[in-house]
Amino acid sequence: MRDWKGLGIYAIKRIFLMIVTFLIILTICFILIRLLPLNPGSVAPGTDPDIFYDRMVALGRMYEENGEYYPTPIFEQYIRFWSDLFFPGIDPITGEEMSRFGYSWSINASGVNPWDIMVQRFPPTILINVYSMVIAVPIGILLGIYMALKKNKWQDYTLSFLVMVFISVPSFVYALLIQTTNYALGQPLPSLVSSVEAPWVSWEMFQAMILPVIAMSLGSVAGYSRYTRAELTEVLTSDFMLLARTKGLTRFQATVRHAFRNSLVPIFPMILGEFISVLSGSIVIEQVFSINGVGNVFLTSITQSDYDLFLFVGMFYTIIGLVGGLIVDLSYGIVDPRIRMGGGKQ
Amino acid sequence: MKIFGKELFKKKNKVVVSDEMLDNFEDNLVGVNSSLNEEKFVFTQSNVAIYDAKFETKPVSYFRDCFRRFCKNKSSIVAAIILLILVLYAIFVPAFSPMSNVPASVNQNGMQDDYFANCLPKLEMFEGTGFWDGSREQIISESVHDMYVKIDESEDSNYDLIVIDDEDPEERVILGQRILQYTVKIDTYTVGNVNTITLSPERYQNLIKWSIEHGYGDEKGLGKDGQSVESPTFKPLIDVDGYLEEYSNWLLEQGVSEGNIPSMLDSLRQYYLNSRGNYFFKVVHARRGAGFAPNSFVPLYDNNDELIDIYMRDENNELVYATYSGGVYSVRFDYRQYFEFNYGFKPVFIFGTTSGGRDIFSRLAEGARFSLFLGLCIAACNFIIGIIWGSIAGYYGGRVDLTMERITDIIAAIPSLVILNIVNVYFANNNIVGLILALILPGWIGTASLTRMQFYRFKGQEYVLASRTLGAKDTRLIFKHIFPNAIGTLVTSSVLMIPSVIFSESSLTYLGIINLGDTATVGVMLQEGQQSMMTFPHALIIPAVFVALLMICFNLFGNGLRDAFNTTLRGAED
Repeated sequence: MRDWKGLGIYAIKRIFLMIVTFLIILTICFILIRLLPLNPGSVAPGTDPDIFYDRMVALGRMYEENGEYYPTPIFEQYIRFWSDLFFPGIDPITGEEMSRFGYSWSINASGVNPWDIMVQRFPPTILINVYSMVIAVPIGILLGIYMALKKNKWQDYTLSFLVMVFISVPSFVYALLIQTTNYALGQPLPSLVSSVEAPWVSWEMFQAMILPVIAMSLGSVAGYSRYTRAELTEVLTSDFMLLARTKGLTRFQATVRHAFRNSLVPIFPMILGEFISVLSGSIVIEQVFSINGVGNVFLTSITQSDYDLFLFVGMFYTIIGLVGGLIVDLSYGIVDPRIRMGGGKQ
Repeated sequence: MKIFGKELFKKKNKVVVSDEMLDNFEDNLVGVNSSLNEEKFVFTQSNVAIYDAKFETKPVSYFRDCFRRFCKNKSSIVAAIILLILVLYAIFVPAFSPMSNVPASVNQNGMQDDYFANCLPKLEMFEGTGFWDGSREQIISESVHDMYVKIDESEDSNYDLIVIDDEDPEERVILGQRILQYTVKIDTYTVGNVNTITLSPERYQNLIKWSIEHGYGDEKGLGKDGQSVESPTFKPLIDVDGYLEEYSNWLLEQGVSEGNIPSMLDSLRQYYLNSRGNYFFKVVHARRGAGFAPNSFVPLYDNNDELIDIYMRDENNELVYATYSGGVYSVRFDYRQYFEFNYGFKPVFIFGTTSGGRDIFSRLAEGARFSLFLGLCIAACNFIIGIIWGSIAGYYGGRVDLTMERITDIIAAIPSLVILNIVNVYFANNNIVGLILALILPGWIGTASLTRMQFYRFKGQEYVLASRTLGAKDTRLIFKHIFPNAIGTLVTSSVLMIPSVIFSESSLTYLGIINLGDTATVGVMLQEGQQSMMTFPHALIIPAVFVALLMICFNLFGNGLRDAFNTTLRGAED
């Protein structure tokens, strides 16, 4: 019997804490980012200064005095930021509703809403993440089971060594090696995703995504199989497995029905956590294979110091991390009735 | 029950008891009963004071025990040895290799040479074998092959272009024409000669002196006895302009319209320029149908099937080796020998060179030294900060702990890239400080929470309580009783932190988020290698394999240490 009430109280507590944490992070980052100098020269080549300054004044970031523009105090900017988030003002250029999240000046010289940029970049990132998850989770778990069953035999040693290699080596190293091999073989698969012009869900695009998906899933296959092996070996040696065998179950039955289910308890939250992070892209893999995804936007915003976009994407990554962590923690309590979330000492 | 029943039967069948054994057994029983004599029983050690006797076995200290258990883990030992080699490589190669100690008077950027760009890995001992000798497989057409063979045969080239010739060229039919294709190995180190390089008189004299010393002949390529030497440094100048004049007349004779001639001459001049003064012979446009192909050239052969040279000659029809004008000498010389003269070492690059003409072997060592040093510094900083923070939180607990935990929670929740970038922008003028700060800010949290956990584990133990009852102060409890117990785990975690710092550093410099300028790092080398990976993959593969090896060894070594320091595992494997 699960303690739903306790779980609910714990969840509410955690969500509240999460929101507080997020607000503090947002405030710190906001202040640090807005303290940086902002002028059209540092934003984008070819930015129209009139549009830029008009928008800055309309956003309450700057004020005009004798034809010169000066930044407004940070505290004022912070209040305007929150009011703009819920009650956006009127854009002085288009006369429509203003962007709630400020403007990105690096992608387009006349400023773009960061939200619009993100929405465009979601499909490739989500697709690649989903593909690699669909591949990595079953293969990783199956390999882990195989290793646990063959514990301390040569199969286990070989696979364990490979798993160790793929966990230690940085993903961009084998992404680059995969790409080099692809070039050396005369490019049987397209090396760069952005060079392929096809709808997101199509055979051509899938072919182009094979290499990044392999590069992404190698690491997580290794991670899942190591985790599954560790959990399963522990469960396989526990007392209830002996009981299951003594009551007459075959090894297969006992492993699948008793050991495997129990070993999934810590693995399932891992998978759930990864589901959340499907939205955020791997910056390195997207860079190596030239994928115009979310990670790419993050990198662009960093290297071109596009502050509004950077704040937006950075906070997006923060939310993903916080929500992922919360869901992982909560799912432990749901998956395993033995764990009582937030329970005291009683 | 069935299982048990079967197993019992099996055991029963195996036990065979002979009558002889039973007899012996009974005899013994009788013997015990009959010889039971009280006087024979004596208290052992009844008159020896054993309460303060010394142990006869040597006491094993904690670290000795850890070391002993570490040595049992073979893979960790191997990893430690490889790691040691890599570290020694990173320390000693930049310190002693002449390639990373090129004085600024020779080249401000250190060892960098455009002529020797994209050289393949080469070891001198494998010279001419086709393996690890800097040669590159290339498929060339028959005319190019013949030209290369002629160049190799001529006195103008000191070093052979073709290392391994194709004895059995492949015949192909392309567009109805039969074409022979040669698969040959071309030496990437044969950069040949350079034409009309200007040298100051002093440098010119030095080069002549050097050349005579090394047996490469004097300024006319002649030895002491006036005979020509085998591989002279100095080569006769070539007169491209004179040849082009002759060539334009020849084109006119061939019936090429005058309007086309300037562009044809330009393309030929460019062709000579691109060869960097290696083509000392006449080259003409290849014929295509009735006319000439605009950008395809073939060498011209004389009646004996030899190349026709275009050397510069003076009034007496003597070859010209140097011209002097404007205070400088214009000469043409073998570039490989000039390189040796210039840098003081032979151009032999064990791991080849990058597309920018830098030696990979020494540059990688410099990058590794930087990465390892950075990793060590940051691990040490994180270690110190984390220990102080974690021990305060763990020892005092309660409200102090709660507040400190919330702060670490918040810092841990910020994506490290966000912290990194903000710090990096603030330290835009000094990227290394930015990088260090950015890696430390979120980095210490791991150590802090580990320390906190260890303190929670040990502070309630009986021996701490006993010490406290005896009146020990907090500092004594922390440093004398709790901390020494936790140190093993903490040291291991900071060893494992070094590879993660190297990982972050290399991926950040690879992505270009952090720009360390001219500092060599593994990430920068990967980025450089990626640009030329289609044609020269060695510039990418070597740093990639190096990072991979470093990370694997560090992780194996760290895991071995962790197991060795984990006292709960003691005796588990035996």
